[in-house]
Amino acid sequence: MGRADPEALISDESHILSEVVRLKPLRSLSLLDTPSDPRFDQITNLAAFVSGAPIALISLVDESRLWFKSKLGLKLSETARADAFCDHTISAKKPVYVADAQGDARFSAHPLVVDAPHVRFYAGWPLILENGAAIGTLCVLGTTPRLLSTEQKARLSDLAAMTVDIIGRQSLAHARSQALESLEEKTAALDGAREYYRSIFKHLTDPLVVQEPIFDDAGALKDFIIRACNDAACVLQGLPREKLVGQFVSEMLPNLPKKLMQSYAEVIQTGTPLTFEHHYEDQHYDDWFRVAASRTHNGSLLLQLTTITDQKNRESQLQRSRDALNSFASVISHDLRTPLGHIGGFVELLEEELGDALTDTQREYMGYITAGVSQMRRLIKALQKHARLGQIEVTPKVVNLDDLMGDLSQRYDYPLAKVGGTLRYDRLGKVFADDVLLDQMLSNLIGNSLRYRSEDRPLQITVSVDRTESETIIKVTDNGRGIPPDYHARVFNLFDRGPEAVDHKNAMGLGLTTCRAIAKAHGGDIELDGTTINGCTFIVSFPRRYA
Amino acid sequence: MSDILVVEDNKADEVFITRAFAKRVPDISITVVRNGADALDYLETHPLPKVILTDLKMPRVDGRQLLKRIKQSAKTRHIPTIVFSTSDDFDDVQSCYAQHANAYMTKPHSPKGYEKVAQSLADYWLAQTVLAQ
Repeated sequence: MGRADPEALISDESHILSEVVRLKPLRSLSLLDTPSDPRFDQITNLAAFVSGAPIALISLVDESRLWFKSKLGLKLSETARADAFCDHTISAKKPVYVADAQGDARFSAHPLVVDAPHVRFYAGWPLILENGAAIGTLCVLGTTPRLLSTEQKARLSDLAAMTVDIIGRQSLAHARSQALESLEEKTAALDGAREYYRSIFKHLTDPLVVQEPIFDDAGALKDFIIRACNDAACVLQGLPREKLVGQFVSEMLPNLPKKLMQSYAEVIQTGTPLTFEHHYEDQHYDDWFRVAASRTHNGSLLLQLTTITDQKNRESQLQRSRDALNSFASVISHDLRTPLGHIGGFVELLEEELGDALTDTQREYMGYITAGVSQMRRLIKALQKHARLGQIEVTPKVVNLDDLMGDLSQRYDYPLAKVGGTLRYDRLGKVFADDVLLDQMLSNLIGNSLRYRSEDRPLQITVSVDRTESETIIKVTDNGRGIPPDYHARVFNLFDRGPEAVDHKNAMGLGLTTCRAIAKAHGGDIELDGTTINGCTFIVSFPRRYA
Repeated sequence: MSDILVVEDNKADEVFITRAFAKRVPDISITVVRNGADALDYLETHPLPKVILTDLKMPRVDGRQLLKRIKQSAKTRHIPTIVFSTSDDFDDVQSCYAQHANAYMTKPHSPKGYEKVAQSLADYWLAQTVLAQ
């Protein structure tokens, strides 16, 4: 066959197209390979009777075969399409009538004519659906030539029309039952979904309430009726569901402020959800709630209530202790300092006015008073600083430790040079921490190393960083006098100053307490490495979320 | 008319202040009142001082309230009002300036310190500065 023949190609293409148009409705009928049906068998019986032919068939033609929905006088249930007379009928979309195949140029060489069963007579009517698709045939055949009268042809044509009609009804019924089935499926899915959401609604531990708004004649929100609530809401109200649903909100909660109703009205009007905290009090309640209000699909109000009374109590307790701490700091900064200033001041005045009348011993005693006052003043300052430390606020950011150490080593350049000391660090990388606090902490640790240096060897301070999966660890090591083991436990305590420092006047015993407060404020800690000999090592650990 | 109205409840502080002024700038006249309420009375009933020096923590009307009243009143708001307190607390300093204090000074630790304060106050506010009438 000349495949390159353009006309053949075009006809091939149009053939494929018409096949698509034909096969789709055929399949959707779901008739292929179904059991025999007496309605179709009655038709083939009638066709055989009308034509007098021994064989009558209702065939459905798919892409490769003829399948017989009804067959009279034939045992085969299907046959290959290529050999079939009916293929002509379908392609032609009109009746094909062959009185004697041997004398018909179209069929004389046909295998079914030449070989068994030696068909001589064929008459076929295409079954054409409403949409124009020819899906099969009603045909009669025989092995002897046969002439059909106009009357016979007309009746056979009627039978073909009846067949199409039955197929149409069948298809409609089929579509209906399918629609019903899918409806049932959808209903079941919907039921499942409803049950699913109902169980979520029911078991949610936060109270949920659906309230339908009631408007007055002017259209203003007047009240709500409770339409649904979950178990948690029943527990909250202390009432069974049947006593809640259907109730007016104004009766359940008589003390709801007007402003709240206005907010609710806005949620219903705009559909914009609203979250707020509300303190509600009546004879049953004295509670704080976090309320999330939103509009449902049908214009009701959905309220999600979280009881936050405990949290609020804790917050206010915290605020009270913060206030107490603040007032403590203020007491320190004023009330303790004032009399101290007076003691010192009047001692000075006495010294001035008595002048030479003072004996050396008296002058020495006054010196003790003055020294005591200065010492006390420093302590108060340190205490005040510590009181403020209780309220450290950490503002973490990415800090380049090498830059920070660069700053620090510049600042400590002079004091280090004075004692012949060195400060070493190398590629420490970055940490996520509060830079100001970190600076303060490292500065305190370096200052400590300076104060507690050994007179026997030049001071060497080394800062290094280790990283584990969960922590960033900053180590500050020196080769100073170290800290005696029996002192390790107390080293971070407030005002514990430890063994006599070289430069003890500046040591208030607060540096390490501050360091610990800073580390803890970052969620980390600081400890003293007890194993260091000839010096000491402080290990600061930050959780990795910070460092 | 007094040059400086000193508002100070603490007797000892009063001694330091008056002594320092008497010693360094004896020409300057000083009136001391015990608290903010007395200061407001004084301002009502006497010719206005050139400068007000007030403590913060006092009974009845404290320094903060006094400062507020002085700066709210059209009659007195032009008078330089200097807060003179033991407290160096950040919040105290901030809030006083927020209420339009003209200066905030912490009390010194020694009589010499008070003398310096007296001297510089007199030099700045009563000699170098041109005041509103």
